[in-house]
Amino acid sequence: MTWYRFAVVRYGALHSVMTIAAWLALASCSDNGQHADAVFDGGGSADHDYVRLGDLIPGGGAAGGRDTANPVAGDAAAIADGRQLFDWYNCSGCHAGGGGGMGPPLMDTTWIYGSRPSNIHHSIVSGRPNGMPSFGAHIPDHQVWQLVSFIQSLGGTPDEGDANDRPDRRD
Amino acid sequence: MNEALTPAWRHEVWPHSTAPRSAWRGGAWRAVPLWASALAIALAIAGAARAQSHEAAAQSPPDDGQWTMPAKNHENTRYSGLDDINTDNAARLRLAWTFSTGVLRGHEAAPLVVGDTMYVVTPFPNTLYAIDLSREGALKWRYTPEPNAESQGLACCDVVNRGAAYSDGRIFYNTLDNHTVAVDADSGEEIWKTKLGDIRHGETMTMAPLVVKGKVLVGNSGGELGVRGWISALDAADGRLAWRAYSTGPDEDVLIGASFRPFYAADREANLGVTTWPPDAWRIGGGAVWGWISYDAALDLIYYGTSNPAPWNADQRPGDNKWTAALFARRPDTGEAIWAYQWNPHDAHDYDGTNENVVVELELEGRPRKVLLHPDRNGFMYVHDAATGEVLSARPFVHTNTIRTVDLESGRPELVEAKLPKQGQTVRNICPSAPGGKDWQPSAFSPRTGLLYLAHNNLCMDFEAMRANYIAGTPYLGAKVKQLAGPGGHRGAFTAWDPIAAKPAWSHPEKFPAWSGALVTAGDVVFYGTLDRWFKALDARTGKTLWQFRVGSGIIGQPMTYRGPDGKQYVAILSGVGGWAGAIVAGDLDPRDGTGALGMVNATRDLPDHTPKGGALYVFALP
Repeated sequence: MTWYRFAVVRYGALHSVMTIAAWLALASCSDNGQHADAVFDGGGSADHDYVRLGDLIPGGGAAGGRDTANPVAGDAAAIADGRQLFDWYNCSGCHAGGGGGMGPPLMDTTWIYGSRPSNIHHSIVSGRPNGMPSFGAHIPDHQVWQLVSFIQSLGGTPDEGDANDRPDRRD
Repeated sequence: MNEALTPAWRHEVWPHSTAPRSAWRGGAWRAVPLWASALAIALAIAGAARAQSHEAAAQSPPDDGQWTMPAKNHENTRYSGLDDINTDNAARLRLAWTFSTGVLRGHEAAPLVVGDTMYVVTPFPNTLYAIDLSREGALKWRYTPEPNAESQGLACCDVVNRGAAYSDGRIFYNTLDNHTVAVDADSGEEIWKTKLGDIRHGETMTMAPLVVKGKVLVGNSGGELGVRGWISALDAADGRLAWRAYSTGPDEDVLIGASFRPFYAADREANLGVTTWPPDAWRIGGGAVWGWISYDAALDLIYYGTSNPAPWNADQRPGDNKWTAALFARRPDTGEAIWAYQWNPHDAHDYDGTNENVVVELELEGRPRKVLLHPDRNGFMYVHDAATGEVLSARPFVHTNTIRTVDLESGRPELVEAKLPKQGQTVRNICPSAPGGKDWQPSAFSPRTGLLYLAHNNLCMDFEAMRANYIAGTPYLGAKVKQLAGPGGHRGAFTAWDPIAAKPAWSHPEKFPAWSGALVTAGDVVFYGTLDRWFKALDARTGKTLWQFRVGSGIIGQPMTYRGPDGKQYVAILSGVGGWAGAIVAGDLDPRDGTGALGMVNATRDLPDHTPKGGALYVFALP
């Protein structure tokens, strides 16, 4: 068990906004190495440091961009932690249990901003222009991946892939 | 004491079909047919109670055929003196023309008609259309305020707008990103635009302004995001802030001062907006002002209610949480509070107090009394003295199991402990559910029938309360909710309520929550729409369906009527499903998650089988 999972369990039990906020501040100081690794371990050079949303590549070149695999994809503990974080960061206030409300559903196969783990990670960290807030300054990167694991567990994304590439699709 | 105020008189026996038309144009009551001697006895009983409101109507000037504010008038009656369309001919209504708004979200606004121009404001992006009625519905101009797209992520219950208000050559309305705008009604030019709130604190604006004595009165939305609620008055001339009154916090901020005389003694202590909260919780405690404002010129008081407290999980905010879920009476010039009353102290069920307060005069216990009719989210119909705030009567208009009764001595509701959500538990079958016995959908009052007409819900809920974290600009709820159909299985109804007998005169069940406004006319026809795409005309006295028309998308708008340049009476409604009740369609929500849209999905899973999205105006007339 990694240190941060321990932290979630221990501090989560206190159920305090202030405690979580203080812990986040601590995490952002102590977590620099891990944070950087998680963000930039996609194998791309600086030239490829973007998250590709679609498959339309002008000129027919190879699809580029960062396509980081979720380091904790399918990990039961990560999914459980992600489920808790989904409530604690108020994701559930907008996306409910995944069926949506103020925000779009996350359990269906319609993805406005892409269904790849990198796309979902990018949506959480950077936000989206029609109302998805940018949580990059609030949520440590490893927790973002836990959230992605939980969202993937809702069944709207194929394993590590793109919902648009599902086998029953006939374009 | 919580009994009916005077002996009942029933409206369903009122002779309507044989009365001569047009003799008392403008709202006098109809002649009594000679054959109806039995009815005459009933009428004699009713007479005293009825006479007052009828005289008032008869004395009012004839309807000018315009519709310059969503509620038709400052009193919020939504009553039109036009009677060309009446119970005899409403069955012959035909579609006259339509207009697409180009927007696919929930359309809650009322169209306005001023002179020969109709004005329609859309949900986000809050486009204002001016339509030329003298040129068969030609588009005159459009005004696009270009609100910040990010505001869409902060609207709890769809990106709705409840309409504009006209005054003195200008159209005033609010944009989702917290601006109030004044637009030249002739040219469509922007005259001023004032920023009033901040999306980073969870604020949006969805309500329709009311213009009183040169002031544009507006309020914020965001009770689900822990905003601090306020009402503001802007100078209609230049858009400058004249005053702002917060719903929570120290008296100084709430504009409670020397003139404050609440009816109930417990409400008279100082700084209740602070002392009825845990330390500092009032700063993020809700009490938004997103509903209706009414005004009585004789008393010179505006009336409006405040939203639910935040978060929904009540265990996090012990105390009465004043002044959330409460009613304020204020002076429009200064904003100073004259009295206040809290319908739901320490609300635990999301029972906002934002529903309308319709100002009417009723004869109660032998004397005329100016009262407010308020159908609250908690399922009780309140009759308040408009001058003092005293609760004269409070009776349930829907099935309720959260409140036993309202104690008229203290003004406080007697809560049912077993139906109070508790953190870490799921409490089942709470009635009414979070959107209440009735949500925002405004009612209409006819001085001819003495009845209040309301589209409303019949919903219950299972409520799991949990710890909420406040993160500015995100929901502050602490609740997982699943809503369910109430007793009878229908999820809504349209009811004619007799405020004197304190019971329904008639009620018409609806398959889905009835989420549209109501309109009643001097032709004794009442109009409303349904989520499953019907626009209906009912006999105001009997509830009989006279006519219905299937529109393109579910109706959550506010019907209105006007006299066109050709002299004919028209009836108009916006269709376009959405809002909280239609969120599953407007937001493409997943029906497998019953907690979606704050539990509304659980009660509306079948709505996509009945309506698609799509905003359009429909206008009807007799052939």
